Amino acid sequence: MDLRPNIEAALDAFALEAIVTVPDMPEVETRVFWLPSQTVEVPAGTEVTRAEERRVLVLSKVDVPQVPRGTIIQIAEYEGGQESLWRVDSMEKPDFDHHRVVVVPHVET
Amino acid sequence: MSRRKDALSDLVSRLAFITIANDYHSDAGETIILGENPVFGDADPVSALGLVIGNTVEETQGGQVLFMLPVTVWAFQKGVTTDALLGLEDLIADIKYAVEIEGRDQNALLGGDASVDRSLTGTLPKGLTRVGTTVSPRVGGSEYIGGSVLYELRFREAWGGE
Repeated sequence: MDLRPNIEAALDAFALEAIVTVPDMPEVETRVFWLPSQTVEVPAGTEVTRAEERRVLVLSKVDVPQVPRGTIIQIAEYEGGQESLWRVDSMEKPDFDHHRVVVVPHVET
Repeated sequence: MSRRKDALSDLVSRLAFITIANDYHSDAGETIILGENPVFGDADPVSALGLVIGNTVEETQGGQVLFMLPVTVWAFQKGVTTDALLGLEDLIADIKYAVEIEGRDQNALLGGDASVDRSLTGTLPKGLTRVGTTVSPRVGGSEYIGGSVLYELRFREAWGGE
């Protein structure tokens, strides 16, 4: 039996307002929440490294069915913080009702 | 006196050329780590270089010792854009240019710096060779890329040091 709680419970507890823009799709106003970030040493496999935050966002599949790489998410990093743009860089974990995606600060090119 | 120390100092001085002000792609040459293995944080420079010294291979011939010292020049820089690979190649090229070409002018009489050429410290003809290049592509969620260039420094010194 699958005892995982529905994503709605986590959204109600932790989510912040966000605007998600999938490439070539209209933007979606929704709720998104951050998982606790991990500290990793990068670049991998090198002798000179930096400690860097690996940031993961959780999105409901009901609101955003697909989150391809390059999706832009406008959200504050913490409650009350200033909103900024984040770019989906990798898929952390697809689940039955949500996506966990790895994001990096979005840099306009 | 130590030829080994002099050669490493010369290598560091060449890498210090890598600044945007000198028309390179980054300011990695402003932060050169030698003999340490630190982990940088948010308040530290976004690009840096590090020299990792390997184990020497030595051969004694009469009163002389021939040795080969492997030195890897590691580097990282911020590269979060979609063309991170090209940024990484710029970084690798910067290292090669700074070490192998920058300031190369053996005609000191015309104002050149005779200490900056392939011989390292001006005393070891052709003592510097490049033997490999590695890249560390950006991993998902990271803003940094890295790479390295491996050199071999070949020396001949007298038994007992100089």
